[in-house]
Amino acid sequence: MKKQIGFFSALVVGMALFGCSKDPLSDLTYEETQVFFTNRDTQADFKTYKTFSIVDSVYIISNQGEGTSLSETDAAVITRMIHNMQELGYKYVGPDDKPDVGLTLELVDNRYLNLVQVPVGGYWGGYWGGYGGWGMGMPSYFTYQQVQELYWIVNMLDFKNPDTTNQKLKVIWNAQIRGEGLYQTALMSNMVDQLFKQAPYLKIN
Amino acid sequence: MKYKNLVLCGLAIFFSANAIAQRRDLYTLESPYERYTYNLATLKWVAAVPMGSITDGYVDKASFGNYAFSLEWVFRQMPVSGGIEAGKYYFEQRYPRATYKMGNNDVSAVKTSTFSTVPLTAFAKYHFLGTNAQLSPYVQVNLGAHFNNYIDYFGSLADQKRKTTFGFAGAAGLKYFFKKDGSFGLDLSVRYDQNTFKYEYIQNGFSAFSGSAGLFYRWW
Repeated sequence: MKKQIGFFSALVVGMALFGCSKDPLSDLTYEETQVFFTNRDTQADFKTYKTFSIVDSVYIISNQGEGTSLSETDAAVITRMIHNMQELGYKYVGPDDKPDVGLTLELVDNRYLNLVQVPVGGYWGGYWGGYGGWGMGMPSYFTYQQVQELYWIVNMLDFKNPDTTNQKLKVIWNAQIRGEGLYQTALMSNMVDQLFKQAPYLKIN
Repeated sequence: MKYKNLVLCGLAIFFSANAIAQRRDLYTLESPYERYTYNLATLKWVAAVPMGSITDGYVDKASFGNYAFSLEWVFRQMPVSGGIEAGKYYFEQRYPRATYKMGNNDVSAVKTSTFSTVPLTAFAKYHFLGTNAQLSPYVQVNLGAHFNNYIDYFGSLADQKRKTTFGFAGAAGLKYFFKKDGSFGLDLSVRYDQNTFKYEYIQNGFSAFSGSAGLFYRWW
């Protein structure tokens, strides 16, 4: 019996070792967590577009309501987008000046509050002898977790070739930014620059 | 008188020592480790180098934080032992920001490629100089399951695949008992592991070459 106890306790100690694992992302900075997605309409010839316009505020898409926003951060993004487009050779015009392309800017901000019960409902260790065999009752509001889904979407709309039959504007370029620190004003310029940097086909000059 | 006493004492010591030596010759019982099948537990620290397709753009860096634990039955009067072994290999490599093609998307990210596998295997060992030699070289084969976890992080977004596959290994090593017939010792080995995991970068199974240093304890 003693032999078996020794054997099985060795087995338990050994198996306990394999539960440990490290977080490989713990050393990432906000910038390093950010992921930039760009996608293009392969039919579109960007050299045929000369002028652009951009929305005057950021459209917030949220499960808590939608609307426009023009905070300091939003303004920083818009200004940097204009700068990048001009660098690529496009001329910035007003919305009423018949731009060839239009840029939209959306921020998806969904927040979920999930009530989660602590997953130890049964046994509490039996420390207080008088309550042998009693279980634990835990109200669900003792713990919760909040999940936030935040990302940027940029679309480039083709005003030059509108689909008049279906009354649709074709999206010829789409970009998304995901990750951490997506609403930090100081990081905005670099974030916007990165989007354009990985889309050299947008260059017309 | 004094001189005579000294001679007598000397003679007494000589004969008694002789008698003890003779008694030892008459009564030579083998160590319990020779007479019984016994248990042996080994805890190893493992340094590993990934091999094969995993090194083509995923992870080619050696990893030094791996470990293994084994329990073994050493059979009496046979040069063989068998047991079970669990362990963990973990590989990780960080790539600076680069643009990757995913479908039609261009994706720019700092990539952190990780792969871990927990081999749970049964093994058999053959000891060239018997199982109780103070310095005991051996060869070993393992067969069993590998619990694989492939996570390729693009920034903070993960492309993950968990899969249990068949895995096997071959190893050669050396056991050294700190004391003849003692309980504790040192285990040094080199080993090759292979499994049948396939996903994205890993196209022909995961494999690794490793070296380990461990301590063992035996009891009966």
